[in-house]
Amino acid sequence: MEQQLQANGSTRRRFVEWFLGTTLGAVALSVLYPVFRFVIPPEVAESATNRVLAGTLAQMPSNSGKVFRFGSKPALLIRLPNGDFRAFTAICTHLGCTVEYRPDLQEIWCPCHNGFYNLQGVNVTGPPPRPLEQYTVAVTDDKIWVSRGA
Amino acid sequence: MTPRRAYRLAASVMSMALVALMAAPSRAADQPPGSTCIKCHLLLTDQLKAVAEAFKDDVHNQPRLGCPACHGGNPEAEDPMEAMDPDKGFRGKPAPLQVPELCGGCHQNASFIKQFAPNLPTDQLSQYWTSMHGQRIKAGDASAATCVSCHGAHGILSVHDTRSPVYPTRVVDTCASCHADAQRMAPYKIPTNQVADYKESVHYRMLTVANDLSAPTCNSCHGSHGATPPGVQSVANICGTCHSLNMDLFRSSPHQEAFAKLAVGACEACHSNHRVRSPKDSWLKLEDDGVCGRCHKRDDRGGAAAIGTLAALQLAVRTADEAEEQVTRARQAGMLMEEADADLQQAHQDIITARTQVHTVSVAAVAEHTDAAIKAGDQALASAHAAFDEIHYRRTGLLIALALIVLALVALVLMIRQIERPAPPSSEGSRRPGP
Amino acid sequence: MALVQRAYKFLDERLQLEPLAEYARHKEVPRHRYSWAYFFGGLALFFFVVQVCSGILLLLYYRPTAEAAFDSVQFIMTRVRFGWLVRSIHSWSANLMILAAFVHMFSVFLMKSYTRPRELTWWTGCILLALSMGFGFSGYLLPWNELAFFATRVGTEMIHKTPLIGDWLLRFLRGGDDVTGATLTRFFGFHVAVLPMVITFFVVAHLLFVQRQGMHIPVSAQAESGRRPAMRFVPNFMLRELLVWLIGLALLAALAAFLPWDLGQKADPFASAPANIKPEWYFLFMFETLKLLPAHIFDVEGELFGLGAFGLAALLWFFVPVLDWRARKGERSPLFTVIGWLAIVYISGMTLFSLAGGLPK
Repeated sequence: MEQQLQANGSTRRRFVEWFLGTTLGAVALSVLYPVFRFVIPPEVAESATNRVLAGTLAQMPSNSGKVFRFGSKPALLIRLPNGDFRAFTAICTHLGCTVEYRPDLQEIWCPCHNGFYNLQGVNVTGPPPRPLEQYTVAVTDDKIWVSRGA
Repeated sequence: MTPRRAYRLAASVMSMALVALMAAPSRAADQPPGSTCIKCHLLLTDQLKAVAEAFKDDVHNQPRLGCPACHGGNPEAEDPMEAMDPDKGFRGKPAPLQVPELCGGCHQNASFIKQFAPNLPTDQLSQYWTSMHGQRIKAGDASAATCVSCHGAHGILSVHDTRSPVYPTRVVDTCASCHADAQRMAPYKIPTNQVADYKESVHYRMLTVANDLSAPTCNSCHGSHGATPPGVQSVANICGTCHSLNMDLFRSSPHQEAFAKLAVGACEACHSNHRVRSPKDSWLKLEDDGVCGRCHKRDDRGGAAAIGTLAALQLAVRTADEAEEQVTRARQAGMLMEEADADLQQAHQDIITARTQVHTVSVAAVAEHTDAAIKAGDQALASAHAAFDEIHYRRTGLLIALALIVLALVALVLMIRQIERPAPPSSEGSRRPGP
Repeated sequence: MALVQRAYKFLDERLQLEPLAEYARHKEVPRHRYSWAYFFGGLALFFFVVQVCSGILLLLYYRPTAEAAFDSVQFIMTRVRFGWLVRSIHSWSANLMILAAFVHMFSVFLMKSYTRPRELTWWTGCILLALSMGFGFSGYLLPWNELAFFATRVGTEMIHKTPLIGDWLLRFLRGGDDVTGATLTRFFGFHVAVLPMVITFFVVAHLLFVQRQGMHIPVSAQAESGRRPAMRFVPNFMLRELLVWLIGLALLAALAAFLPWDLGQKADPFASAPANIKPEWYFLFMFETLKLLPAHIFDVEGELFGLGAFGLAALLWFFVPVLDWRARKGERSPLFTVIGWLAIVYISGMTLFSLAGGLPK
């Protein structure tokens, strides 16, 4: 009887030890798995709200404009007649409509209330009260990168 | 008694009174002009004093102008009889019919105005003669509006001064002082509801509530000095100075000819002239408050276009609204919805463009943009659903982790109980030490 | 188990661990009706370790400049795999750590464990609490969002009121006259380098003292503790501590998944402060008290008086091992029990009051 108790006792003890080890191991894995996935960098290595690929040289002939997405807001990329690039926010400072580039006038135009901005983004005629915020453009190989801030 | 003799009499009476009042002699040489006028008038009462006090802020209160610019007279003379001598050029209070020429005497003279304000326009008088007010004055009607009716006579402020009666936010009340007065307008047989209508408009709200000084007021459409209601053919041009895209689209549509034939003002027919409200999609209906229904029936081409356009817009708006609701729900549950926000913005912009395209009265033109709006709205909705899926995944993952932790807790409790159980008696006498 | 034993033998051969192991084997924890309180110190330590690990992970992606900070946190929360989890855990664990520290401190106070010969443990403990709150204050600014920016501005303004050194302190903390990118860089340095270095020293000291001196038994529990056999530290107490830690981990995971931490809006220094700027909850009781005070008390500016009163209270609290003469003699000390309960009621009451909306403006 006592031996059986002892035998039961040691089987039980071994089971408990195994159970504890296994469950603690499982908990440890459920902690380590997210950590492991975390340290591998995501596909987009950088925050998109500071630097965005706006287009390629092939897409932008001289004297053309393109509306692209910068973070969650629309932005305007312009290629001047002389080949230089400019980029601005595309949100009109009057009532928030999306502006566009007018190659015929070489000015930025807002169709909602006929507001105009010059190629420096400065509001020249119509209702807009403030200039458009300007972004920085950098061209590497065929790619046009637009960034904002420092 | 002629006016000249009346002035002479008034002057002599006053001079006797004022000689007694004025003690110290003034040094005329270094005083600004009009100063003796101001000095005496400030000692008087009521209206005669009020004009001198108001003149302090007047733009004409400066050297070489002052009171004599309009009234003539000698601003350096102490003696009222000398200061207000009609023979020496004193004009007194000008009659209403004389006011335009009086102001125009300087303000039409470009080389004179250039010495004070180089870029001030000098066409006000010629504009004025084209206006209804000017024409009434020419016809001898002294109750028509002249320069002083809007700008004031003493205390005239620049149009850029917020206190001026012709500052953009105050223009409507200045015009209202005559044009909203039924009794005054009765002889001219023109309505007096324009001001009340305008004050219900989105233009008035933008001007006064949103402080958008680019919003139109009376003079923006009617002209300021050349104030005249635009003719029927010109309405589209007037509205088109700001809403140029809408005007171009309208011109390219069949409505342009149709409205011209019917002699109906283009924009005005649907949007009204003074009570311009933000248009609603329901205007496209053929019944109830529908604007299209005023001319079109179900079975004509216009009616069909209206029905088609309304359907397209309603679908786009419904899609965008539903997407917005779901995105907000996802955001409130803790997800960051940047992409979805960009899509929603695009959808709203497309709906604005679609609504502008209504002026072409072409269902295809509108549908091009409502389709784009629906596409963007669907993308935002997809992002929202992806967010919900992600939340679901996270909570499932959490529950699994929690289950594992609970199992580990159970294991620990078992272990603790195991090692703290009193040891069974054993024949070898070995005892595990107690807890 | 066999693996553990082999590892131990390897190290013992080289480092003579046996005396330490012997010491650990004999270490005991008294059993009485307040023994549950003994777990809270370890719980605070657990949350601290979670902070260190999650903080290091966040460091892999965080950028400490005014222009990039907010965006980098947003990047962590949206693009990095499980970034949302690591960030939420870091924010929640900070709060749970300070909460556990407060519970630990108050239970120690009520049990009078601060008394002789454990003054050093109490003093290092007070410093640890202050350091934790410093961690909280410096870390709060790092996401560079609207609430954090203005809360930091208000908080450092309060410090400015210190007489004599107020100006110097303000410029030292802010890295300038106002809260700017320089402040962010400085707070980042404090948060990831200076404070960790200092707190490690004090944590090690605090733990060493506790291990060396064993657990204090409150006077009222001494009889009971004499009757009941003590618990072995290894493995009984440690297993129970592990149990408590796992419960803490479960709580953290649940909070992170069901109440994820907000990010808010990016800070705009030129915008006016939003309507309800509040510091983190562990400063709320002070914040609310200062709002209650009248503009002037005895010719002194109300807020300065309040801050001075808090400073004095903190000083007295710090020196309680010396002040509580009864406890030093091993007697019951009802006066200090009452003081302890008053402090608990005041702090928790004011905190809850502030969370419920506080004083009307």
